Amino acid sequence: MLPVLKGIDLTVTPGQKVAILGRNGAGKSTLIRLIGGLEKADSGDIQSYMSISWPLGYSGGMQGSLTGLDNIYFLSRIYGVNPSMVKDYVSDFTELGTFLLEPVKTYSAGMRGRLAFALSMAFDFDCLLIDEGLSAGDSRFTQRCRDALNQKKEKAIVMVSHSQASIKEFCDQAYVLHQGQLHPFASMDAAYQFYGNCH
Amino acid sequence: MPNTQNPLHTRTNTMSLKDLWQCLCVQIRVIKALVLREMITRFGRHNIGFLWMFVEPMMFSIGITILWTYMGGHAKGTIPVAGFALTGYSAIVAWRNCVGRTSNSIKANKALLYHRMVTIFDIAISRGLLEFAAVTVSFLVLSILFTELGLMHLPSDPLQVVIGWILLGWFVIAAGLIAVYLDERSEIFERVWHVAMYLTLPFTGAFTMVSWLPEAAQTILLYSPMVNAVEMLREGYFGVGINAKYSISYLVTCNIVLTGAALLLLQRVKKIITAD
Repeated sequence: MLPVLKGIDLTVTPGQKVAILGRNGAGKSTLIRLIGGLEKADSGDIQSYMSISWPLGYSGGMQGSLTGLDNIYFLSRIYGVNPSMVKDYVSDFTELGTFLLEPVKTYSAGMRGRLAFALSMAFDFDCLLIDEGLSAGDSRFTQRCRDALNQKKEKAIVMVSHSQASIKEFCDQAYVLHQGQLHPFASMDAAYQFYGNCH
Repeated sequence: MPNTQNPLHTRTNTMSLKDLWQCLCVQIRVIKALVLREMITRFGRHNIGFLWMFVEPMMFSIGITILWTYMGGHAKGTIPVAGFALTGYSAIVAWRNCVGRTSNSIKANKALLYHRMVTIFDIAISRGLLEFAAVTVSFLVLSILFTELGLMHLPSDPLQVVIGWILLGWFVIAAGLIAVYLDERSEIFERVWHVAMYLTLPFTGAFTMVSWLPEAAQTILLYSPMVNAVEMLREGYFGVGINAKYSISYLVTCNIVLTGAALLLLQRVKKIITAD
């Protein structure tokens, strides 16, 4: 078995907005899934003192054959939150309107991302894991996300994306994942410079 | 905004009794939500909706009861045909539905494993419980209906009927959990389970009472937990006069062993699949 990640040391504090850069297959999603508790590491441990969202992305987390609304109800129930409050917040935030009555499998990537992000805001996690989840949103929605996040400055973010625009939009710190190692950088530009030279 | 704190968010090494209690609450909450979610996709909100849940197994039992009543056969002695068919076929439907429909439950719900409190066990057990509940309601409704129509009498020992039915449910649900493992482990399961289910029919005990068979066949049949459960169920219904043969301790032992095996095997399913 080939190890994907080796000797990873990462601390995320409340309010920190961290981007993880890396080429396809570098292990970014694996790292996110480990933090999200979806997978267990072969060795080492992960300690969390914040509530952490599920990896918000284009797939996963929602049941495709259920409507958006039924997914809202289901997820509210498992997270132990009042479904009607969440429903109002999410339908207002996503502006999905009557699309919420359609099965989630008919949604575009952007619509799924919107729904997932709005749900995670409604559930009020301390730390959001974003796996490409915001990259497909239109500019109006991106602005809404920014505004919502600005209101809650203590929220932490760990984000994986190939879109430089959305990383610069949401993060203030970057790590590069290269050959199983996580490299910290003082500035975003330095991180991108290193990332550009990765082969 | 609502509070989402729960013990699964903070991972520490020590676990107190209070944590255990909280985990149990989370698990019950998740299973409840999953059962509701299953009901919506399976039966939807179209035409009679959730009623299909009971009507589907009911149609099966009614059809077989009519068939057996007019074709004769199977029932002997003091047992009314309708009662014999109802107890037997309810057991068969429970066996078939719990194993068949629980086995592919993970495939349909993989995306939900993204949420850390949703486990493979939760998904599988929700499906199993729902299927068994559906058959139970159909069994109950038909018992009342048949009794009202004068096709059979009220059970002679209701408590025994209840316990027998619960032990049967325990068995089929545990078997369903094992089927989840087999289904994830190998594609062959999906192809052979229909025929396997058909071949197990004689070992469900639905078609005959053990005491009607020759000695040698009796010994073999009584190794089947299902046969023990159905014999117990029928004795509860039709009284000790029917000469039922079963062992509660054997049935319970089988169930415990099966459940233990199922829990161990489900741990492995986690390694086989990768949530996507």
